[in-house]
Amino acid sequence: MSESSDKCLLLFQSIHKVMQAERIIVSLGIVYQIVPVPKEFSSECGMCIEIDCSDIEVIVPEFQFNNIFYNKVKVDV
Amino acid sequence: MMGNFYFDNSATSYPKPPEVAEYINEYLKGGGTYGRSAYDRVVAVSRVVENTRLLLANLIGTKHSDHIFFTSNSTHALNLAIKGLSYPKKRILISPLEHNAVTRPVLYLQQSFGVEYDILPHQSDGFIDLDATGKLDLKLYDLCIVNHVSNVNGVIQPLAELKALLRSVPLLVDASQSAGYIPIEADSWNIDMLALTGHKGLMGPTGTGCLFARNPELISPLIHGGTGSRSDSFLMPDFSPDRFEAGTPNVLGIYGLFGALSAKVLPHFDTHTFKDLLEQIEQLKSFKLKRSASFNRQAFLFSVISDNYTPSELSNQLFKRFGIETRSGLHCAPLAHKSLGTFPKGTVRISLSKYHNPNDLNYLYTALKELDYERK
Repeated sequence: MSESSDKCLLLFQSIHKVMQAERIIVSLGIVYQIVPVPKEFSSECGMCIEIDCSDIEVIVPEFQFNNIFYNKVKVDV
Repeated sequence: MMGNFYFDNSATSYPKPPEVAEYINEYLKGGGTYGRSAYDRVVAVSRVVENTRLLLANLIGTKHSDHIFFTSNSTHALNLAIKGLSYPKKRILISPLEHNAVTRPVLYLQQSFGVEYDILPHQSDGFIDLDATGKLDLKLYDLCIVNHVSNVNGVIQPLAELKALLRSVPLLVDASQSAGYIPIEADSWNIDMLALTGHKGLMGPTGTGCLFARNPELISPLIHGGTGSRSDSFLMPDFSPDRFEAGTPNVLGIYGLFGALSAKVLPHFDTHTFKDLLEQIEQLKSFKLKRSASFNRQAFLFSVISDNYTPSELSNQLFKRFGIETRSGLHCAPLAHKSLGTFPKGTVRISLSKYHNPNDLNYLYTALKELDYERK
Protein backbone atom coordinates (compact mmCIF):
# COMPACT_ATOMS: atom_id res chain seq x y z
CA MET A 1 0.00 0.00 0.00
CA SER A 2 1.36 3.42 -0.88
CA GLU A 3 2.24 5.96 1.83
CA SER A 4 -0.40 8.37 0.51
CA SER A 5 -3.26 5.99 1.24
CA ASP A 6 -2.22 5.30 4.83
CA LYS A 7 -4.81 6.47 7.29
CA CYS A 8 -4.08 8.45 10.44
CA LEU A 9 -6.31 9.20 13.39
CA LEU A 10 -6.17 12.62 15.02
CA LEU A 11 -7.17 12.48 18.69
CA PHE A 12 -8.21 15.56 20.67
CA GLN A 13 -8.93 16.21 24.33
CA SER A 14 -12.48 17.47 23.83
CA ILE A 15 -15.39 17.62 21.42
CA HIS A 16 -14.78 21.36 21.23
CA LYS A 17 -11.35 20.69 19.73
CA VAL A 18 -12.67 17.98 17.39
CA MET A 19 -15.16 20.44 15.94
CA GLN A 20 -12.61 23.23 15.75
CA ALA A 21 -10.26 20.87 13.91
CA GLU A 22 -13.05 19.76 11.59
CA ARG A 23 -13.76 23.36 10.57
CA ILE A 24 -10.09 23.81 9.65
CA ILE A 25 -9.91 20.54 7.72
CA VAL A 26 -13.06 21.44 5.79
CA SER A 27 -11.65 24.88 4.97
CA LEU A 28 -8.52 23.21 3.59
CA GLY A 29 -10.59 20.92 1.37
CA ILE A 30 -9.12 17.78 2.90
CA VAL A 31 -11.07 14.52 2.80
CA TYR A 32 -11.79 13.22 6.31
CA GLN A 33 -14.28 11.33 8.39
CA ILE A 34 -15.26 11.48 12.01
CA VAL A 35 -14.95 8.07 13.67
CA PRO A 36 -15.13 6.66 17.21
CA VAL A 37 -11.93 6.76 19.22
CA PRO A 38 -10.58 3.17 19.24
CA LYS A 39 -10.61 1.83 22.78
CA GLU A 40 -6.92 0.92 22.66
CA PHE A 41 -6.08 4.62 22.47
CA SER A 42 -8.51 6.03 24.97
CA SER A 43 -11.19 5.13 27.46
CA GLU A 44 -13.37 7.69 25.75
CA CYS A 45 -16.61 7.04 24.00
CA GLY A 46 -16.07 10.15 21.92
CA MET A 47 -14.95 10.97 18.40
CA CYS A 48 -11.75 11.56 16.50
CA ILE A 49 -10.85 12.47 12.92
CA GLU A 50 -9.47 10.09 10.29
CA ILE A 51 -7.51 11.54 7.36
CA ASP A 52 -4.87 10.42 4.86
CA CYS A 53 -1.52 10.59 6.63
CA SER A 54 -0.14 12.51 3.67
CA ASP A 55 -2.43 15.44 4.53
CA ILE A 56 -0.90 15.92 8.00
CA GLU A 57 1.76 18.36 6.84
CA VAL A 58 -0.89 20.66 5.39
CA ILE A 59 -2.91 20.60 8.57
CA VAL A 60 -0.16 21.00 11.17
CA PRO A 61 0.58 24.72 10.59
CA GLU A 62 -3.13 25.56 10.82
CA PHE A 63 -3.54 23.56 14.02
CA GLN A 64 -0.49 25.23 15.53
CA PHE A 65 -1.80 28.67 14.59
CA ASN A 66 -5.12 27.88 16.29
CA ASN A 67 -3.57 26.24 19.38
CA ILE A 68 -5.11 22.87 18.61
CA PHE A 69 -3.17 20.08 20.24
CA TYR A 70 -3.67 16.51 19.09
CA ASN A 71 -2.22 13.05 19.09
CA LYS A 72 -1.63 11.29 15.79
CA VAL A 73 -2.02 7.54 15.47
CA LYS A 74 -1.37 5.59 12.29
CA VAL A 75 -4.09 3.09 11.56
CA ASP A 76 -2.99 -0.47 10.99
CA VAL A 77 -4.74 -1.89 7.94
CA MET B 1 -52.16 44.68 11.38
CA MET B 2 -51.94 44.34 15.15
CA GLY B 3 -49.02 46.16 16.72
CA ASN B 4 -46.42 44.73 19.04
CA PHE B 5 -47.39 45.89 22.51
CA TYR B 6 -45.11 43.55 24.43
CA PHE B 7 -42.72 45.85 26.32
CA ASP B 8 -41.30 43.33 28.80
CA ASN B 9 -38.29 42.19 26.79
CA SER B 10 -35.95 42.65 29.74
CA ALA B 11 -37.81 39.81 31.43
CA THR B 12 -37.76 37.68 28.30
CA SER B 13 -37.89 38.58 24.64
CA TYR B 14 -40.96 38.22 22.48
CA PRO B 15 -41.42 37.53 19.64
CA LYS B 16 -38.54 35.26 18.78
CA PRO B 17 -37.02 35.10 15.30
CA PRO B 18 -38.63 32.27 13.30
CA GLU B 19 -35.26 30.53 13.13
CA VAL B 20 -35.52 29.72 16.85
CA ALA B 21 -38.55 27.47 16.38
CA GLU B 22 -37.11 26.08 13.15
CA TYR B 23 -33.91 24.89 14.80
CA ILE B 24 -35.70 23.60 17.89
CA ASN B 25 -38.01 21.65 15.60
CA GLU B 26 -35.02 20.34 13.65
CA TYR B 27 -33.53 19.01 16.86
CA LEU B 28 -36.79 17.46 18.04
CA LYS B 29 -37.06 15.65 14.72
CA GLY B 30 -33.40 14.67 14.50
CA GLY B 31 -32.44 14.00 18.11
CA GLY B 32 -28.96 13.12 19.28
CA THR B 33 -26.67 14.28 22.05
CA TYR B 34 -23.43 16.23 22.37
CA GLY B 35 -20.22 14.18 22.09
CA ARG B 36 -19.73 10.84 23.83
CA SER B 37 -20.18 8.87 20.57
CA ALA B 38 -19.31 9.29 16.89
CA TYR B 39 -22.38 8.31 14.89
CA ASP B 40 -23.82 10.87 12.48
CA ARG B 41 -26.61 12.08 14.74
CA VAL B 42 -24.15 12.96 17.50
CA VAL B 43 -21.70 14.58 15.11
CA ALA B 44 -24.49 16.79 13.73
CA VAL B 45 -25.56 17.88 17.22
CA SER B 46 -21.97 18.48 18.31
CA ARG B 47 -21.42 20.72 15.28
CA VAL B 48 -24.40 22.89 16.18
CA VAL B 49 -23.38 23.12 19.84
CA GLU B 50 -19.83 24.12 18.94
CA ASN B 51 -20.95 26.53 16.22
CA THR B 52 -23.20 28.17 18.80
CA ARG B 53 -20.22 28.51 21.14
CA LEU B 54 -18.30 30.14 18.29
CA LEU B 55 -21.15 32.57 17.55
CA LEU B 56 -21.26 33.53 21.22
CA ALA B 57 -17.50 34.14 21.21
CA ASN B 58 -17.88 36.38 18.16
CA LEU B 59 -20.81 38.18 19.75
CA ILE B 60 -18.83 39.17 22.86
CA GLY B 61 -15.63 39.89 20.98
CA THR B 62 -13.30 37.13 22.13
CA LYS B 63 -11.07 34.74 20.21
CA HIS B 64 -11.25 32.22 23.04
CA SER B 65 -14.34 30.18 22.23
CA ASP B 66 -13.07 27.35 24.46
CA HIS B 67 -13.37 29.75 27.38
CA ILE B 68 -17.13 29.95 26.92
CA PHE B 69 -19.14 27.55 29.08
CA PHE B 70 -22.81 26.88 28.48
CA THR B 71 -25.06 27.52 31.45
CA SER B 72 -28.81 27.55 31.96
CA ASN B 73 -28.96 31.36 32.24
CA SER B 74 -27.04 34.40 33.54
CA THR B 75 -27.84 33.56 37.16
CA HIS B 76 -26.20 30.15 36.76
CA ALA B 77 -23.20 31.75 35.02
CA LEU B 78 -22.82 34.42 37.71
CA ASN B 79 -23.05 31.81 40.47
CA LEU B 80 -20.37 29.76 38.73
CA ALA B 81 -18.02 32.73 38.65
CA ILE B 82 -18.83 34.23 42.05
CA LYS B 83 -18.78 30.95 43.98
CA GLY B 84 -15.92 29.48 41.94
CA LEU B 85 -13.33 32.18 42.62
CA SER B 86 -11.19 32.48 45.74
CA TYR B 87 -11.17 35.58 47.94
CA PRO B 88 -7.90 35.91 49.86
CA LYS B 89 -8.55 39.60 50.54
CA LYS B 90 -12.18 38.90 51.48
CA ARG B 91 -13.46 42.02 49.72
CA ILE B 92 -15.52 42.63 46.57
CA LEU B 93 -16.62 45.76 44.72
CA ILE B 94 -20.03 45.79 43.07
CA SER B 95 -21.92 48.40 41.08
CA PRO B 96 -24.94 50.19 42.59
CA LEU B 97 -27.29 48.72 39.97
CA GLU B 98 -26.77 45.01 40.56
CA HIS B 99 -29.52 42.43 40.14
CA ASN B 100 -30.19 39.81 42.80
CA ALA B 101 -28.37 37.34 40.52
CA VAL B 102 -25.26 39.09 41.83
CA THR B 103 -26.26 40.44 45.22
CA ARG B 104 -27.64 37.15 46.54
CA PRO B 105 -24.49 35.11 45.74
CA VAL B 106 -22.42 37.98 47.15
CA LEU B 107 -24.46 37.95 50.36
CA TYR B 108 -24.00 34.18 50.44
CA LEU B 109 -20.23 34.73 50.36
CA GLN B 110 -20.56 37.27 53.13
CA GLN B 111 -22.61 35.01 55.38
CA SER B 112 -20.65 31.84 54.63
CA PHE B 113 -17.07 33.05 54.33
CA GLY B 114 -16.99 36.61 55.67
CA VAL B 115 -16.36 38.18 52.24
CA GLU B 116 -17.44 41.83 52.49
CA TYR B 117 -18.57 44.05 49.65
CA ASP B 118 -18.44 47.74 48.84
CA ILE B 119 -20.48 49.65 46.28
CA LEU B 120 -18.68 51.54 43.55
CA PRO B 121 -18.93 55.34 43.71
CA HIS B 122 -21.65 56.51 41.36
CA GLN B 123 -23.78 59.32 40.06
CA SER B 124 -27.51 59.72 40.78
CA ASP B 125 -28.51 57.51 37.83
CA GLY B 126 -26.14 54.76 39.01
CA PHE B 127 -23.48 55.48 36.40
CA ILE B 128 -20.10 54.62 37.87
CA ASP B 129 -18.05 57.64 38.93
CA LEU B 130 -14.71 56.79 37.36
CA ASP B 131 -12.82 59.68 38.97
CA ALA B 132 -13.91 58.62 42.44
CA THR B 133 -13.26 54.96 41.64
CA GLY B 134 -9.73 55.83 40.59
CA LYS B 135 -9.11 57.27 44.06
CA LEU B 136 -10.07 54.02 45.81
CA ASP B 137 -7.40 51.67 47.07
CA LEU B 138 -8.27 49.01 44.53
CA LYS B 139 -5.54 46.68 45.77
CA LEU B 140 -7.91 45.80 48.62
CA TYR B 141 -10.28 43.91 46.32
CA ASP B 142 -10.42 40.39 44.93
CA LEU B 143 -13.11 41.10 42.36
CA CYS B 144 -15.31 43.80 40.85
CA ILE B 145 -18.78 42.97 39.51
CA VAL B 146 -20.68 45.29 37.17
CA ASN B 147 -24.07 45.07 35.50
CA HIS B 148 -23.26 46.25 31.97
CA VAL B 149 -26.80 47.56 31.41
CA SER B 150 -29.13 48.16 34.35
CA ASN B 151 -32.32 46.14 34.14
CA VAL B 152 -34.11 49.04 35.86
CA ASN B 153 -33.11 52.26 34.08
CA GLY B 154 -30.99 51.05 31.16
CA VAL B 155 -27.76 52.82 32.12
CA ILE B 156 -24.77 51.49 30.16
CA GLN B 157 -21.65 51.25 32.32
CA PRO B 158 -18.15 52.18 31.03
CA LEU B 159 -16.52 48.75 31.13
CA ALA B 160 -13.31 49.48 29.24
CA GLU B 161 -12.56 52.59 31.28
CA LEU B 162 -13.37 50.83 34.54
CA LYS B 163 -11.13 47.86 33.72
CA ALA B 164 -8.29 50.25 32.91
CA LEU B 165 -8.59 51.54 36.48
CA LEU B 166 -8.99 48.09 38.04
CA ARG B 167 -5.86 46.76 36.34
CA SER B 168 -5.21 43.34 37.93
CA VAL B 169 -8.48 43.24 39.88
CA PRO B 170 -10.69 40.82 37.92
CA LEU B 171 -13.83 42.32 36.38
CA LEU B 172 -16.97 40.17 36.17
CA VAL B 173 -19.63 41.60 33.86
CA ASP B 174 -23.33 40.78 33.98
CA ALA B 175 -24.31 41.20 30.32
CA SER B 176 -27.88 39.94 30.75
CA GLN B 177 -29.43 43.12 29.40
CA SER B 178 -26.69 44.20 27.00
CA ALA B 179 -25.91 41.08 24.98
CA GLY B 180 -27.66 41.33 21.66
CA TYR B 181 -28.44 45.03 22.04
CA ILE B 182 -25.12 46.83 22.27
CA PRO B 183 -21.56 45.89 21.23
CA ILE B 184 -19.37 43.92 23.63
CA GLU B 185 -15.61 43.65 23.11
CA ALA B 186 -14.40 41.28 25.80
CA ASP B 187 -10.84 40.98 24.49
CA SER B 188 -10.13 44.60 23.65
CA TRP B 189 -11.80 45.80 26.88
CA ASN B 190 -9.80 43.18 28.80
CA ILE B 191 -12.90 41.80 30.53
CA ASP B 192 -12.03 38.87 32.79
CA MET B 193 -15.43 37.19 33.04
CA LEU B 194 -18.81 37.80 31.43
CA ALA B 195 -22.19 36.19 32.05
CA LEU B 196 -25.08 36.33 29.61
CA THR B 197 -28.43 34.75 29.00
CA GLY B 198 -29.85 33.54 25.71
CA HIS B 199 -33.49 34.53 26.06
CA LYS B 200 -33.38 38.32 26.42
CA GLY B 201 -31.53 40.49 23.87
CA LEU B 202 -30.29 37.46 21.96
CA MET B 203 -33.93 36.40 21.47
CA GLY B 204 -33.22 32.72 22.01
CA PRO B 205 -35.07 30.27 24.25
CA THR B 206 -35.09 30.28 28.03
CA GLY B 207 -32.70 27.86 29.73
CA THR B 208 -29.68 29.01 27.72
CA GLY B 209 -26.73 31.18 28.67
CA CYS B 210 -22.99 31.14 29.14
CA LEU B 211 -20.04 32.29 31.16
CA PHE B 212 -16.89 33.57 29.50
CA ALA B 213 -13.73 33.36 31.61
CA ARG B 214 -10.39 34.67 30.38
CA ASN B 215 -8.55 32.65 33.02
CA PRO B 216 -10.69 29.58 33.70
CA GLU B 217 -7.98 28.07 35.90
CA LEU B 218 -8.97 30.61 38.57
CA ILE B 219 -12.51 29.19 38.81
CA SER B 220 -13.62 25.96 40.48
CA PRO B 221 -16.50 24.12 38.83
CA LEU B 222 -19.94 24.60 40.36
CA ILE B 223 -21.21 21.23 39.13
CA HIS B 224 -19.25 17.99 38.95
CA GLY B 225 -20.06 14.95 36.82
CA GLY B 226 -19.65 13.29 33.47
CA THR B 227 -18.24 15.25 30.56
CA GLY B 228 -17.58 12.55 27.96
CA SER B 229 -13.86 13.28 28.31
CA ARG B 230 -11.15 11.84 30.60
CA SER B 231 -13.70 9.28 31.70
CA ASP B 232 -10.99 7.16 33.31
CA SER B 233 -10.55 9.86 35.96
CA PHE B 234 -12.70 10.45 39.03
CA LEU B 235 -11.76 14.13 38.84
CA MET B 236 -13.10 16.81 36.55
CA PRO B 237 -10.99 17.51 33.44
CA ASP B 238 -8.54 20.37 33.86
CA PHE B 239 -9.31 21.84 30.43
CA SER B 240 -12.09 24.05 29.13
CA PRO B 241 -14.90 23.98 28.31
CA ASP B 242 -15.32 20.43 29.67
CA ARG B 243 -14.28 21.38 33.21
CA PHE B 244 -17.40 23.52 33.55
CA GLU B 245 -19.93 21.51 31.56
CA ALA B 246 -20.72 18.34 33.51
CA GLY B 247 -23.87 16.57 32.40
CA THR B 248 -25.69 16.56 29.09
CA PRO B 249 -26.10 20.17 27.95
CA ASN B 250 -29.42 21.77 27.05
CA VAL B 251 -29.10 20.74 23.41
CA LEU B 252 -32.69 21.68 22.60
CA GLY B 253 -32.17 25.19 23.93
CA ILE B 254 -28.77 25.55 22.28
CA TYR B 255 -30.35 24.68 18.92
CA GLY B 256 -32.87 27.47 19.49
CA LEU B 257 -30.08 29.84 20.51
CA PHE B 258 -28.18 28.92 17.36
CA GLY B 259 -31.28 29.87 15.37
CA ALA B 260 -31.53 33.18 17.21
CA LEU B 261 -27.85 34.04 16.69
CA SER B 262 -28.07 33.07 13.02
CA ALA B 263 -31.10 35.31 12.46
CA LYS B 264 -29.16 38.59 12.84
CA VAL B 265 -32.27 40.70 13.43
CA LEU B 266 -31.74 44.45 13.03
CA PRO B 267 -33.73 46.99 15.07
CA HIS B 268 -36.97 48.06 13.36
CA PHE B 269 -36.65 51.54 14.92
CA ASP B 270 -33.74 53.95 15.09
CA THR B 271 -32.16 55.69 18.06
CA HIS B 272 -33.72 59.02 17.08
CA THR B 273 -37.19 57.52 17.38
CA PHE B 274 -36.28 56.07 20.77
CA LYS B 275 -34.85 59.39 21.93
CA ASP B 276 -38.01 61.17 20.76
CA LEU B 277 -40.08 58.72 22.81
CA LEU B 278 -38.11 59.44 25.98
CA GLU B 279 -38.34 63.19 25.43
CA GLN B 280 -42.09 62.98 24.79
CA ILE B 281 -42.70 60.98 27.96
CA GLU B 282 -40.63 63.48 29.92
CA GLN B 283 -43.14 66.17 28.89
CA LEU B 284 -45.98 64.31 30.59
CA LYS B 285 -46.43 66.05 33.92
CA SER B 286 -47.59 63.12 36.03
CA PHE B 287 -44.79 60.78 34.97
CA LYS B 288 -41.14 60.70 35.94
CA LEU B 289 -38.61 58.79 33.89
CA LYS B 290 -35.91 56.70 35.46
CA ARG B 291 -33.25 56.60 32.76
CA SER B 292 -29.63 57.43 32.14
CA ALA B 293 -28.68 61.08 32.65
CA SER B 294 -27.05 60.92 29.22
CA PHE B 295 -28.74 59.47 26.14
CA ASN B 296 -25.31 58.32 24.93
CA ARG B 297 -25.26 55.73 27.68
CA GLN B 298 -28.91 54.68 27.51
CA ALA B 299 -29.92 51.19 26.42
CA PHE B 300 -33.36 50.33 25.06
CA LEU B 301 -35.07 50.00 28.43
CA PHE B 302 -36.17 52.51 31.04
CA SER B 303 -38.58 52.90 33.93
CA VAL B 304 -41.44 55.26 34.70
CA ILE B 305 -43.14 56.22 37.93
CA SER B 306 -46.47 57.99 38.15
CA ASP B 307 -47.88 60.60 40.53
CA ASN B 308 -51.29 58.98 40.21
CA TYR B 309 -50.73 55.26 40.13
CA THR B 310 -48.59 52.82 42.03
CA PRO B 311 -46.32 50.83 39.72
CA SER B 312 -48.61 47.81 39.86
CA GLU B 313 -51.68 50.00 39.17
CA LEU B 314 -49.98 51.68 36.23
CA SER B 315 -48.82 48.38 34.77
CA ASN B 316 -52.36 47.04 35.15
CA GLN B 317 -53.89 50.12 33.49
CA LEU B 318 -51.51 49.82 30.57
CA PHE B 319 -52.46 46.19 30.07
CA LYS B 320 -56.20 46.29 30.73
CA ARG B 321 -56.89 49.40 28.70
CA PHE B 322 -54.21 49.33 26.02
CA GLY B 323 -52.93 45.76 25.87
CA ILE B 324 -49.43 46.94 26.74
CA GLU B 325 -47.37 44.42 28.69
CA THR B 326 -44.81 45.78 31.16
CA ARG B 327 -43.27 44.72 34.45
CA SER B 328 -43.84 46.60 37.68
CA GLY B 329 -42.12 46.42 41.04
CA LEU B 330 -38.49 45.88 41.95
CA HIS B 331 -37.38 43.76 38.99
CA CYS B 332 -35.32 41.49 41.29
CA ALA B 333 -32.97 44.44 41.78
CA PRO B 334 -33.61 45.97 45.24
CA LEU B 335 -30.07 47.36 45.38
CA ALA B 336 -30.64 49.20 42.09
CA HIS B 337 -33.94 50.64 43.31
CA LYS B 338 -32.32 51.73 46.56
CA SER B 339 -29.56 53.43 44.57
CA LEU B 340 -32.14 55.18 42.37
CA GLY B 341 -34.49 56.16 45.22
CA THR B 342 -37.38 53.99 44.02
CA PHE B 343 -37.28 51.38 46.79
CA PRO B 344 -39.56 49.76 47.99
CA LYS B 345 -42.40 50.53 45.55
CA GLY B 346 -40.28 50.18 42.45
CA THR B 347 -41.20 51.35 38.97
CA VAL B 348 -42.89 50.28 35.77
CA ARG B 349 -40.22 49.06 33.40
CA ILE B 350 -40.56 49.43 29.65
CA SER B 351 -38.14 47.33 27.65
CA LEU B 352 -38.03 47.27 23.88
CA SER B 353 -37.48 44.57 21.30
CA LYS B 354 -35.66 44.93 18.00
CA TYR B 355 -39.01 44.04 16.46
CA HIS B 356 -40.75 47.18 17.74
CA ASN B 357 -41.39 49.75 15.03
CA PRO B 358 -42.02 53.50 15.36
CA ASN B 359 -45.78 52.93 15.37
CA ASP B 360 -45.46 50.64 18.40
CA LEU B 361 -43.46 53.29 20.25
CA ASN B 362 -46.00 55.93 19.32
CA TYR B 363 -48.80 53.69 20.62
CA LEU B 364 -46.99 53.38 23.94
CA TYR B 365 -46.61 57.15 24.16
CA THR B 366 -50.27 57.70 23.28
CA ALA B 367 -51.34 55.34 26.08
CA LEU B 368 -49.15 57.11 28.64
CA LYS B 369 -50.43 60.46 27.40
CA GLU B 370 -54.02 59.37 27.89
CA LEU B 371 -53.25 58.21 31.43
CA ASP B 372 -51.50 61.52 32.05
CA TYR B 373 -54.60 63.50 30.98
CA GLU B 374 -56.64 61.61 33.55
CA ARG B 375 -54.32 62.56 36.39
CA LYS B 376 -55.97 63.42 39.65
